Amino acid sequence: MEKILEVRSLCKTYIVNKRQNNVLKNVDFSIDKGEMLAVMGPSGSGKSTLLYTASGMDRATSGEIIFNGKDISGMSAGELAEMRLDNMGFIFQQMYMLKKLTVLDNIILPAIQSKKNTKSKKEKAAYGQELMRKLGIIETAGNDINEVSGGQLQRACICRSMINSPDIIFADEPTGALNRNASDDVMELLSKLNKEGTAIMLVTHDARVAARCERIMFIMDGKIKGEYMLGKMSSDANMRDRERALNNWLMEMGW
Amino acid sequence: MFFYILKRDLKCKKTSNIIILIFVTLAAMFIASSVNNIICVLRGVDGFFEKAGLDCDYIVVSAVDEDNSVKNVIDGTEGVTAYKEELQLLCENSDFSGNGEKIFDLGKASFFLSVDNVKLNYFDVHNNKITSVNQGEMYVHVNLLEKNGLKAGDTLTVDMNGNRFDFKIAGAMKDALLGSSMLPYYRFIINDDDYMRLCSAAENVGERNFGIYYIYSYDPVALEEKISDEKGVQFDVPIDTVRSCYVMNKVVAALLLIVSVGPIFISFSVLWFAISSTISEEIREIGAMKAIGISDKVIRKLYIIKYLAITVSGAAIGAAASIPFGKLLLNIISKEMALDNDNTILITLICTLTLIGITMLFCYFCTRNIDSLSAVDALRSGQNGERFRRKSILSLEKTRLGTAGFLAANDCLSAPKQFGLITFIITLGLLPVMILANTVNTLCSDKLIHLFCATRSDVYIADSERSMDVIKGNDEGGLRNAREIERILADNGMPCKCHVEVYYKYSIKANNKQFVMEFMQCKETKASDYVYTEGVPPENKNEIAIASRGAELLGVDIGDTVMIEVDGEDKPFVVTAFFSSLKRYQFGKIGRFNEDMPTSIENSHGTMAFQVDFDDHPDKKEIAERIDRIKEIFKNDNVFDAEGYSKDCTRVADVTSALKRLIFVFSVIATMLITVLMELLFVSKEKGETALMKALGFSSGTIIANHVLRFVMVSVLAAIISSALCLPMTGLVMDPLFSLMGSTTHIDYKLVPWEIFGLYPAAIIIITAVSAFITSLSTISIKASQTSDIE
Repeated sequence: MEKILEVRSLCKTYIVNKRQNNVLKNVDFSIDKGEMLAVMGPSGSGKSTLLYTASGMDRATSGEIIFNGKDISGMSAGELAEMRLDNMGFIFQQMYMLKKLTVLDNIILPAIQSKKNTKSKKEKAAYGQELMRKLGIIETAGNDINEVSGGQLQRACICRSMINSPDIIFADEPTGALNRNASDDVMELLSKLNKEGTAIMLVTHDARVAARCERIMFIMDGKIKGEYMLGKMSSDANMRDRERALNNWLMEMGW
Repeated sequence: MFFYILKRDLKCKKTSNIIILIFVTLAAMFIASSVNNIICVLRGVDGFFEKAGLDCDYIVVSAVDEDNSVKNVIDGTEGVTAYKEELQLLCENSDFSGNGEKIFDLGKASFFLSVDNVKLNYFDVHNNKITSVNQGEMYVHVNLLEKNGLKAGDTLTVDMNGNRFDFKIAGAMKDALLGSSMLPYYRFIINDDDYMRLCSAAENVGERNFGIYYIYSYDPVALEEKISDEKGVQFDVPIDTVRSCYVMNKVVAALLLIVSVGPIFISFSVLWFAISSTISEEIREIGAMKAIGISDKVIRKLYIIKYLAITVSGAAIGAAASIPFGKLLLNIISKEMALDNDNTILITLICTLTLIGITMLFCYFCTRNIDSLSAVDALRSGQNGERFRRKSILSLEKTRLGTAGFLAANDCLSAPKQFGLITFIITLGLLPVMILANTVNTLCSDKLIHLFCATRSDVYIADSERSMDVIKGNDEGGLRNAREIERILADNGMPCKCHVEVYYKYSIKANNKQFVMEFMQCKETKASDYVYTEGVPPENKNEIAIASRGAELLGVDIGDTVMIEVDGEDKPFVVTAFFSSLKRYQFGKIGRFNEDMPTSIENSHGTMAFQVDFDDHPDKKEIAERIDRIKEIFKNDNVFDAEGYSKDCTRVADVTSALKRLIFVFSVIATMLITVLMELLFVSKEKGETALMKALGFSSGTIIANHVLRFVMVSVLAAIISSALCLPMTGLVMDPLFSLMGSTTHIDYKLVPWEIFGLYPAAIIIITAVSAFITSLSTISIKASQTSDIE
């Protein structure tokens, strides 16, 4: 299988109050095209740092990050920004959006900014609306972000992450701020996206969320402790089995 | 715990706390200096006169003859309660040279005054009373020094009947009586021994002995009537006339007053903005405190104490800085007047305490939301608790702007209060500069020539010797001198026509009111060549036009008959027109005769400049070259074109121009500071959003462009508003000031398009853009991974 992201000997060190904090220690992993990978681990294990560093949102202290065959670790800030804009999508736990824009404008903003996306503004807006319709939030298009619920907002964030048809979506605790129903809806959407060919790397604490993924990577103290292959999810019927199997493995990992 | 939270807050929110501290410092500096200046300016002339001890009712400057006739008249006039006599020695203009160069411009007359015989208080440039002068030194009036390019330490030589006396200039002097640039008299204060030596050297000392009489009288009118018959009197005026000679200083002072109000508004607006936006940033934190059970009262107290600490520190620094800052402004307008404030420290203290009080009130009002917000509201609503308030105005789909432009425009429109305030502040900085620019350009143009009762000519030659010759020779003198100037200029290849306006003093009566009025007449122009505000020009010998102010004083209207004493006989004259006059010391008591009205040498009083109109109608450049040649030919620097003559007549163009430059520099600095501080506040407030944009793939360039464009948009808007308002505002502000000088009509102000629509707006826009750009560079260090900092 062709790899979309390959991380080799990734290290990330923070220096806080003259103290060195090695958050990631020689991490190696890769994601195949169309794969859905969950990163799990206790708080402070380096999950989010791994996601941010691997996606080029943060600089690695050392190591190689190969995205679509290109080493992005040496790229300039501008090149990284362009790559994130055109080829990556992001979903955050807190549904971050620009407060002064409507939901639709927030969604289409990356498309308008993208040079690679050659559609007209109208077409971009229409595509944004189409995504909203698919995700069932079309009625909130003209609303301000303060006027919609958390679940709707997270769906809007998913729409935004998809607007430039990215190769991969990075999701940092995408369901962390949602209730169970909303969380299931969001995960269903992400699974659907993944089935359509978009690779997904998500960070989560929730085994229910991770159980929808093809592969689970367990991280602890900045090192990958192990990986678990659940395989592609065929239907919701076997969710319970996947979840149980995952929980068993997590217990083995010391969760 | 309470103080621990406070300490942590001060430490953790360093940027926003420092910004508040800077704003409070600036506010204290502006407010204390502006209030001090306003008090100084409002006391202005009265304060100066009080300080100088010029508290009499009437002034007489007269030669002292053996019979003491002036003193006898004063003694014998009813209403005089007391008087002081200040003796001085008249000096001839030809007596002087400075640093070896001849001094030409000594006004109408100059006097030596012994420091031991002063009856007023005279001040040096630092407003210290001059109590002693070293032998061989002299204090010289500041205007005389400036006019002749002299300074303290230079040598001024007096040639008294072949005896040379070298004086070292000890410094510039401020003289309440003769210190106004409107009065063509100067005084030199010297040591008493030097004074006696000069008296001994003077051949005709009897003719040179002059006295200035400071008279206390409850009936100055009676004194005026009696004294006007005395031959040796150089000039005699009620004290109000002397006071009104400072009208130009008042105009400049009023301008300072106006521009001092601006910074006060700016300071309070900026402070309100800074406090409200930093408190709104902390709403979520307030929610967290409420949630864990800290009472509203304690939370409010926490913020109020925090801002009190910052305000007290900032106000103390600002108060200290306000004193030199205020003096800088005041020095510009107090060149001739000893303007200062004995209560500077007290006023600064009051201003500082007021500022602290008002800032605390701001805090009180800004924190009142704390009471009404529930913990959940505050936690949920994030930034400002306005959960259901619509913010988005523009649509990204429909915009023609780029992303950065769209976001900038959307930001401005979504927060109209915030950006409106910045626009208001920039406008407030720009508008006074434009008003002053229009004023200076008008003062330096020929638009005011008609207000000085003159026709427009190519060249104006102010020549005091020829002027005296005209007075002595009356019409013949005027014509003779005009012909002579024509001949000299024709000999030098500049054929021309020359004429001169002559002033005549006549007593005018109407409605039981009587005073001496100055009438102007030129035998070689027609009364219809001048500008009148109402009525028709005087076409017959028995018709006159008078200044509107004079008409008001007499209580007459067009068509009324007034009596004018001509050759000892009251003759009727019909008022046919009113005109507006800025002529300086007449203060409305000015009129115009028809050119055919026979005037008398006895009544001639002075002339205006000789006006030259070249036969070949040269262009401006050629006129400028000819002016240089005329200066050489007549050895006279007082040769002007129409613009220069107008500027010379008002004498405030330079000081207004200096004030304009200073205010412009302040505006630029203030705009720069406000932009930097506001942008710092925005960067800190929008850190999370910036990180999010970066995470989404926006480059630092786009984010910086967004930040810069917001400020460019508001500065462009401010520039448009200022440009649109500057002419009406100039009229609104300056018309009352010109009316102080005697104008009764709206002035047609000169707007220089490249300056008003180009230079100043461009400078402010560039300064704003550069300041915002440099400050927004700090967003580069915000990482995409800091998205979680978003609140």
